[in-house]
Amino acid sequence: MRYRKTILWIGLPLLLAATGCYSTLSPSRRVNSALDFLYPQGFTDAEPASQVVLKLPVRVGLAFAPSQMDQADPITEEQKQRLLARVAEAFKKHEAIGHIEVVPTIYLQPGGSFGNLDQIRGSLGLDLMVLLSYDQSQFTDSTRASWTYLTVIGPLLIEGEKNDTRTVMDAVVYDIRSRALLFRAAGESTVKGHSSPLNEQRKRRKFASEGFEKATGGLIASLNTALEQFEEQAKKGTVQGPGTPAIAMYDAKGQQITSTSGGGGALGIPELIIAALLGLSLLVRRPE
Amino acid sequence: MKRFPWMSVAFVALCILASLADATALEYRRGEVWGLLTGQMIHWTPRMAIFDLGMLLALGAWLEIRGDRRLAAVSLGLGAVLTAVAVHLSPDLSYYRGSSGMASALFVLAAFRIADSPDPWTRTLALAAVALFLAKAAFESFAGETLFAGPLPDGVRVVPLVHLLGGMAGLTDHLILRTNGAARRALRATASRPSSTAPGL
Repeated sequence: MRYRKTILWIGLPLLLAATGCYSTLSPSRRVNSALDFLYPQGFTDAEPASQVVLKLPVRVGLAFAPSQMDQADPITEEQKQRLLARVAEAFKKHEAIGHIEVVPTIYLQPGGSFGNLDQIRGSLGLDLMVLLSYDQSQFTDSTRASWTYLTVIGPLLIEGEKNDTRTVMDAVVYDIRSRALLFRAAGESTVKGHSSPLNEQRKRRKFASEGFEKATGGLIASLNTALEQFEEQAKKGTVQGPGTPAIAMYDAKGQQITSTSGGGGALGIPELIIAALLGLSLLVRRPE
Repeated sequence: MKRFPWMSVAFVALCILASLADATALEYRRGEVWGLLTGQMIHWTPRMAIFDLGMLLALGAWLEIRGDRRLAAVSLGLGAVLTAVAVHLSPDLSYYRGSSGMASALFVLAAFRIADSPDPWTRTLALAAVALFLAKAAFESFAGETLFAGPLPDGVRVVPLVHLLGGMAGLTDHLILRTNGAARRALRATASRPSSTAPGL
């Protein structure tokens, strides 16, 4: 009975201390929005774009929207450039895109808005700008295996923390000259993994990076679909259907590209059959 | 003595030569008025060329051999002009190739020439062929979809209005011929009738 009290008096503070040492990290969220970059005041009183003119093939710039001043990026600039290069590579095959330029984040100032894009257009000769935004949340919860942290080797060997990293990447494509949003696309990913209290931060960085890689794959597929839909819609004369800015696309020869550009005067099998009927009418003619 | 159909043969030969040359330079492009005529001499695919030029040659030669060369020439010209009008009035067409408008004009003209026969079966079949041809073209023009269209390159569609107006050109040519014929017959009848009043009175 006396021993049991001693264990309780010594063991309980140790247990509390251990829980304090290895408590799970609180959820984290990192957001980077192209709209914050383009509209830093939160609103605009500028006239909406009414007419977009594109001369194909276009020159496209591709960049991550700059982060807010007080927020650290979950991925490094080198990783960003690698992701942008992947997106750029996927779009080089489109005939409508003549050149795609990966723009370093340093070229974009937080809150730089369209003035900043005009500078880039002037210096790099771009027609369109693709701005990538992201929203990444990380959650860490203890599992039942986390009781082993009470032992000396538990935190070293047992990964009793469950991590969820959810990433959404969004791309908006703007015509810099008219400031019209042409189309947008998004890709998302969920990365699940485990960590121990000792490698938790390193694992979270790894999961964050994996989350961006996977979301980029989804974004590329989504951008491809959105680009094809945009091309079809644009041939009908508006950016995104009735009520959106008018758009006119011209090919390299200066001809306007429309939904049904070519026509043919082509006779077919039915006309051939009818002509055969005509021939038959000559055959059945009785001698006059 | 049967006449050699030199007009049809020469025209089809010219179209084949044009197709062998730089067809892109001859096709109709919006704004280029001369392309409305030269575009009708070239085709998008060999199959299209075979159907269109085959029909032109067969019908044109038949009309020429039976002595209707002038009629065939008028139908070709009228068909080409109405095709140009149809293409020009289609704002969604940026490019055009094909000679089916002229072939349609010859088809309807030939059918009506056959229908002039006193034999009822021949007349019925020829008129049925014209009716079917024009009905198909009219349905396609107004419904906005083509029936059993052959394969064409991406972004190129058949323009049924061209067939309809081409057919109308053939019909117009035939009606002009009938009107002139009737007028000539009436004139001859008047001339052969004995005059009831003496001239100068």
